[in-house]
Amino acid sequence: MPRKRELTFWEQIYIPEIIRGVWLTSAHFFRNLFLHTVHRFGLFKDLPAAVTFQYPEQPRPLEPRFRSRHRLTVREEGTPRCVGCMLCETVCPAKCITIVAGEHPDPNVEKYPVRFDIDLGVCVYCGYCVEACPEDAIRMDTDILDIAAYSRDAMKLDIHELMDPKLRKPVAECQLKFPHQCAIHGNQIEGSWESVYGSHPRESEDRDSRFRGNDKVVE
Amino acid sequence: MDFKQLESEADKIIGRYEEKRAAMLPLLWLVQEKFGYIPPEGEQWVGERIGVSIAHVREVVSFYTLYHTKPIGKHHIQVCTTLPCLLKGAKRVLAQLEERLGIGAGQTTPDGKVTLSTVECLCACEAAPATQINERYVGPLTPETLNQVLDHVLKTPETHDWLVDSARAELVEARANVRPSTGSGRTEFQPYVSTEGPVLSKRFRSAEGAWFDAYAADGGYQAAKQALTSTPAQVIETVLKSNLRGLGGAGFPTGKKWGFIPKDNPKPKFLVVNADEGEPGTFKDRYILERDPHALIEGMIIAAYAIGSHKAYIYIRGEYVRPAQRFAKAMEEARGKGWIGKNIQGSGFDLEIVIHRGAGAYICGEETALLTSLEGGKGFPKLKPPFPAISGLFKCPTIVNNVETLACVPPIIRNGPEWFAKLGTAKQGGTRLFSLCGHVVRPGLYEAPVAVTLKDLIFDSRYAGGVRAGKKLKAVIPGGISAKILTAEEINVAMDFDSLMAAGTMAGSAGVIVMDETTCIVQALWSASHFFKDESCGQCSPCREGTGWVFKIMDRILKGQGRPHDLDALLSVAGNMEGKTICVFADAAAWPVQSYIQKFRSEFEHHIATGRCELAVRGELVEPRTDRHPSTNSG
Amino acid sequence: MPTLTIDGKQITVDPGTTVIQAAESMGIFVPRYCYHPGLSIAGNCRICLVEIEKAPKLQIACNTPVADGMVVRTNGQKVEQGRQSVLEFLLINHPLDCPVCDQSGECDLQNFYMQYGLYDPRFKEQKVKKTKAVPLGPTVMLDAERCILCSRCVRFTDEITKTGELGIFNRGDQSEIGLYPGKELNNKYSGNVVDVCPVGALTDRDFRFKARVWYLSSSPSVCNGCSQGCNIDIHYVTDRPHLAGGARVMRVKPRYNAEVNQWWICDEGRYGYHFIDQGRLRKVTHRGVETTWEKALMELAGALGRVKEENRQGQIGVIPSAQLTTEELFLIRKLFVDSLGISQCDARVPEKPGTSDDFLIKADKNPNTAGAVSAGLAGSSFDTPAVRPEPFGKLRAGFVEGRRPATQDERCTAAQIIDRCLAGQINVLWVFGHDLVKLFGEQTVKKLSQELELFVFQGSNENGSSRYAHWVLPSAVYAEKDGAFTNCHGLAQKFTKAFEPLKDSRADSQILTELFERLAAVGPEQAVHPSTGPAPDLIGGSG
Repeated sequence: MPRKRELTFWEQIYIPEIIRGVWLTSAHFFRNLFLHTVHRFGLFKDLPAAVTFQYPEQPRPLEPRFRSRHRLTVREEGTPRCVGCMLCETVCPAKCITIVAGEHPDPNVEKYPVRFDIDLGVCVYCGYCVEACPEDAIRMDTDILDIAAYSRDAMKLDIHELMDPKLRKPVAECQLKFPHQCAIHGNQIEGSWESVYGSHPRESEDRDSRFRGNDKVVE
Repeated sequence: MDFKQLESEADKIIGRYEEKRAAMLPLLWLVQEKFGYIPPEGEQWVGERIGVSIAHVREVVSFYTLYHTKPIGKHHIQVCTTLPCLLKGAKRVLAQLEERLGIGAGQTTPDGKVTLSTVECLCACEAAPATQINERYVGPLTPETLNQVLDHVLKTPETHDWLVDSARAELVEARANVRPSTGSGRTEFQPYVSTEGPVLSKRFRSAEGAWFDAYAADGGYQAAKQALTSTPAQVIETVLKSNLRGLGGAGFPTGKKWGFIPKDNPKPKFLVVNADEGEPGTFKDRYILERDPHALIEGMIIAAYAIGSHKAYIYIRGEYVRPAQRFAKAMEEARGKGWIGKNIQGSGFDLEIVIHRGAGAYICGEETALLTSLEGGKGFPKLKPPFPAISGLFKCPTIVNNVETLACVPPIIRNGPEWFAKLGTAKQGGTRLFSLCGHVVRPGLYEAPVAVTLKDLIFDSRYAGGVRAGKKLKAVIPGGISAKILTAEEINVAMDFDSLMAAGTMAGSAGVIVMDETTCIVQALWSASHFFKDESCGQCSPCREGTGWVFKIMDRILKGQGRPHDLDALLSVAGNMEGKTICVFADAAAWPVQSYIQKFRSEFEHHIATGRCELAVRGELVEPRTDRHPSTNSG
Repeated sequence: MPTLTIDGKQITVDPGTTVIQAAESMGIFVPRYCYHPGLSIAGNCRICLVEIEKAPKLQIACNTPVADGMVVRTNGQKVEQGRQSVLEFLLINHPLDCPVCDQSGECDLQNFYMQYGLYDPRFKEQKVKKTKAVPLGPTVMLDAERCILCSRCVRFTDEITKTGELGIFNRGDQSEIGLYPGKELNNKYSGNVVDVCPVGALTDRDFRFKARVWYLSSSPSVCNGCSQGCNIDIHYVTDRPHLAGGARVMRVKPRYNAEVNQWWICDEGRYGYHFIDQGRLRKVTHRGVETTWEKALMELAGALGRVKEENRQGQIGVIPSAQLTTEELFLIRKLFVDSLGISQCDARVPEKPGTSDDFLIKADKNPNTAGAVSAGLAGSSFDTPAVRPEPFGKLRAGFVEGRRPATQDERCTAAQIIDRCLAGQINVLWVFGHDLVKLFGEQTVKKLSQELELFVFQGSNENGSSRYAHWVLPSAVYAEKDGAFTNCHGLAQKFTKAFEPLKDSRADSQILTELFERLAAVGPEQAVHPSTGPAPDLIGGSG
């Protein structure tokens, strides 16, 4: 067993040790101090100093598979791709998704969500809903990280925010035309298919041509 | 819409059947003949008369191709596009018609005069390419004759007996040359038909040979008289000894089949004659119905007596309008002479015969599907067990026999079973009517001993006289479209049931389809799979889905979009269809797929790899050239 | 009695049994689509193929009668390969509808694929297109693409309802299920075609898109729609209140009972469950003002006790309901009649008999008239509007034995009670469940409300009576309690509760028990302790 050796003189004085210890930190400190100062004068701009990302002006780059806030993908005519199959609601381990389904007038689509809520306060961001979805209707690729709110209620996203990631609570106006249930309309179902398609699709003559292969995803 | 005028006829029709429901098809024909189509009121009326819901009437109407729920043009031109006609240029005929009429297949001309359709095999393959115009068969359609036909059709109100009117045309010996045109501007087509017998074709010579006096003068109805004085068991024994086998395709020993009827069953027994000839490449039964109907009637009497039946039905396919009319006339004659009805010739034996017309479904040639159709339903084969001999028509013991088989019975009784047996092999007696069609010099109907070789049938001057226009033989289908294909090297085989089975194919209905070197086998398989997809009844899943799947793959290959795994997929799908279905339609659909790919695989691989036809690449025609009939002899 | 071997195990069965039935009796499941024990054999799906020794081809188990010495294999390479091919054929033209199809979760294509399929699909062509989302009538939705053409629905409308609405048109892979154009599927048993359909071709319009099948819990029960007493399964969801507007019961399915309803229920019963969640009374009210159970029970016990003390039992009228369970009816009998001595207690209301037919639907729309009779609360004879029906199948005819003698005033029906109320002879009225406005008119009930001293309504749903009663006691529906109904053929059938009563309703038995506990505390000693329970002579019970 090695015996504890005696400290040398310089070690006993402590000051050189302190300087040795904070050498690396100091080096970075003074370097950054210098660089940030000269940055103020517009010099050496291409030399980066601290590794801090100046959020929110400079967002941190995220990996493509990073799971951020959800969004519902949208069809060309503005209706959600989601068919209300409730697979995401079933697989969600936190039970944070609430879906009510309704009848879609196009018989090739048949079903759509009248109501689609995600409680972000409960969500664990596991991504199972994205994996389970058979229609590529829900994605967690918005790169939105700032979901904080002042109340639990405000963290409950409904179909407006989910279809349009740019919206933030409180949503003043309901822009969605298809029949859906939303808080803006007092949780009643508002909207009509005529306003989406121009005429009721089932009664229109060329409904078949309209609905064949009409599935481009709106990015 | 007034149905009152149909009431008395309807009563008569319903009275012919043991169950009201069986009057479904005849009543629908009655309505269609009166109104030109079947309106909803018609369906309602039929349903009420026979006690069936209107949905079930509509089921029947939609199942059969000859019933229309909407009015069609005055002249309905139905172009046959199945393999034998396709080989002789049916596509060209269709294209020509479409161009002249200005409409596509399935459409009607704006003035309502002509409706153009494509149909599956009419069984007029000796006159390929053939069409049916209203009730008449017309063919072969060369470009010139087609124009003449169209002129005639569009200008005159009636269609004419044109070309293949095998009853009225004068008959010639098989070996003789055809008579030249009569100078009326119309070419008269004379089919090649055997007329020398020894069993079946003796009266095919003359159109007048069909009727009672000529038949009786030739020894007709002697056999029936003889049979009626012996016992049914003796009759069955005689037929057993003759080695007569079912000539509809299955080849089951006829005497044995008759023996299956239970003797102690109190229910009435039925004899049902399968005149729903539909196998592409076959047209023999049509000739018997038209040229020798009394032979069939006599055979029916003997068979009915043998099995103890007092009621016989003959199910004639809907397209055979004139054959049915001629048979009906022969029946009237026979009834008048005391051979049909009560106490036949004082023997104490009663027999009633009812003609029942089909409405366009190949599957009704399958015996249990025929019975279902006779009972008034869609042509759905029945589950076996129970077998028809125990529980068949109306759940009573039933024997179903082919036309040709029954036509053989009177000669057997008259000349003795040994005579018949000696004509053939140890296990199959007699002769057969071989239907030769496709790329031969003389397509026609030839009677030959059952053990004749395929090579002789094709090349011998007594029969088809070789491949047309000096071409080389490529492939032959020996027994109707379901039979597995034989290459040109495999034709040294006897045509009886057992030899062909040993050679890996089947004798079937003896419809011989000959293909020469201009034939694209891929297109031939496309045509065969199109036929099976169209004719599948749809009852059980492997056949319904499998035939559609096979056709879709073939369609894709033919359009140049084949993929390397397609051949294995085809073989796998065909193998999966076999042995899992209610009837053997699925097996029959699978055999062409398996045999064509097995024997001509390189042709398929070439199609898939290049997307084009090998024959086109070599400069050969994909479409068989127009066959100018030797009779026109126009250089 | 032939003996055969299936999968190595021997069994002896009756002659005429088919292989599939013999296998089922041994617990061996052979997959099937077109085979249904209540319908004729079609044999067209071909999925029940099994291997039979000495037969060269696979045979269908549903149509092969057993023979002595037969050896059958329902597993093994040949059978598995056969099943996979048939599954593949069925799925090639089947649309990719699982996300939107209501049958998902109880679909036999899904189930058999997971159990017997699991192959790599090879079909790369265009699927056959047919009509989708077609309403066949008010109750059934058709999606023709999903149909596997097993023909069960066609056989049902032909053989069971004998109405023949459905048919399979065209042929080959263009075959399509449907109605005659312009016709509707509206017979009284139309909902059963949804049950028989093994895939999502025929779906229930009432249930459409309400919930996914795997959310549902199931509880066996007995239908309360009429006196036939068909056995049902109640399918409900309690942990997802956002579905179906908060309703718990999503749908009702029939439960097999050989004696009562076999595999079927009528549409009235199938779609008559909405009252369980809609229009329910949720609050105890006194003259429209909400109050608590405690207060209500104390006051009512006090009122009843007073009447008893003052010997005014002749001024009390009680109208029990034939919708109550037998146990509750006996409780009413024991407590109101026997211990309180009320003689004017009768369940016979002047109800117009409903429609009936020769199959399942009975004119008496109460499930427990026979129970009321056996409790002596509906006269001593079976004089309710129900027509004495023919026994269905092997049912017992006749009644519960050991009926209690009727109330002393045997001819006192509910109509007479009401008359006496109007005449001032009765001034305390206790009504169970009936809608008096429908039975006697609004004016009468208004008068009753004004003139009666005490008018209590104890029921589950809002109706004319609850609007005018002084006291409203919300009670539980049949799905929320345990009990038994006796059907019109005399068969007593027990059922258990599916879920707890809605807040703040309570089971009638609980209400009565607590009422009389307080009466016993308040009033005379004759009050019988309610734990003596219902009549001991209920016979048998099903499920």
